[in-house]
Amino acid sequence: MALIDLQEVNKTFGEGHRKIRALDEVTLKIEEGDLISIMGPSGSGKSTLLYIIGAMDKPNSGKVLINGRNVANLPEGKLSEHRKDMIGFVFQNYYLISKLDVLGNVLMPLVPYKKNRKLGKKRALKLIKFVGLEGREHSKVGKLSGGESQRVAIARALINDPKIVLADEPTGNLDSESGRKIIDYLIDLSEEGKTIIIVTHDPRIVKMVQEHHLGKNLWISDGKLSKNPEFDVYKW
Amino acid sequence: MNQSNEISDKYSLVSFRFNVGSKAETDVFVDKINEYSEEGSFNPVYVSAFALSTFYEAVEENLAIIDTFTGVLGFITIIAGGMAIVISQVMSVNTRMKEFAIQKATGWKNYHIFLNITLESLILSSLGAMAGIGLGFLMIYFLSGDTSPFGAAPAVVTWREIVRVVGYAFGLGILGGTYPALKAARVRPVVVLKEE
Repeated sequence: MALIDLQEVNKTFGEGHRKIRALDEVTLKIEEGDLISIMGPSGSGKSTLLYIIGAMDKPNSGKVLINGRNVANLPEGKLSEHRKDMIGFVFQNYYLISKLDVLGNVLMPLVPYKKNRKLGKKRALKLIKFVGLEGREHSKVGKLSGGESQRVAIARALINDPKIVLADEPTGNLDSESGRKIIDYLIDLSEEGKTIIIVTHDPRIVKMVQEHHLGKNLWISDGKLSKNPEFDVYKW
Repeated sequence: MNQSNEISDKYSLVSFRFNVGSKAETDVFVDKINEYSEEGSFNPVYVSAFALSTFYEAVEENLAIIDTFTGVLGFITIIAGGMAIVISQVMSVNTRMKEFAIQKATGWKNYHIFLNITLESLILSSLGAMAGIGLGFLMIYFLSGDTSPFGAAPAVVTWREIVRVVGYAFGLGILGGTYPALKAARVRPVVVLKEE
């Protein structure tokens, strides 16, 4: 059984002549531990696909099976629980909470869950070390560089130990060196067994994923997904 | 009264107190004295009689008006306080939509965010209540002291009043915080995060 199994997923926005088909009969299987890059131009539907896999948005039709459970029809409360248990998000703009320090941001997903909080701090410190920010636990996030902020966001995404990490343009606001480091962290996570899906329009990321033995690249255009055998990142 | 001429030479104002009996008897007695005086029977002294119970009734009526007035003022203050909490919390919620969106994206449920914002409103209103109680004590201290322009009137703050103020504050915090909390809890993360 595939960890992620999308069956004929459709998603549209707007109505009438303003109707936009963001996803068009998307069918996709992703196994546990896969490292996937999804590339496509702006407005191609790649972020919509990511949000649907991450149970943040619902399709108009089709099935979204995550670990065998169709999340397309789950009520809001169950979706939150599903996201907590299964999904870690990394966003282009980090979305850190500026009034909290590094440790506070990493611990934020655990705040309402008392049981997890007890073990949380130990795990948070381990994750902060993993992303190379040891000693910066009590730094205000406003004082961090873009690369450091994104590393905090990766640690936050991992605090609930999710099976799937979804990264939406994770290097979009970073210089190439910081961006490369972020992709390295995501590849490391893939080697540890996490399923990583990176949405990007940066061919360098596609190249890094393609060169990795676990890596698979997908192409999305006008809401249609393809493996794009003709696509050659080296020609970009 | 037969010595009224003699009295009028010595004093400009003289008061007598009579213990009559029941209120009805007193009223009859007062009416008789006033009628007698109006007929000029005490000339050259003018006598005006009244029952203390009538005086107390007038005082009570005035106090009731003051009570109603302060009640209306209190009600307006409660409405204004509630509105202040709603407005400040709505503004705070509007500027923190991304925070709530990311909380939901990482697994917070609607009621987690709702409780969080309601708790913030309760803390805000409790701080207001503490400031109000403190200000009340200070005002009573100054107004009941020797330097008070109203004279040294004794005043007491009872525990009952303090509990009432805290109760109002909690009620206001919950009522005023409900709408902003609902607004924050209902945020759709995909809408907020895609806006960027």
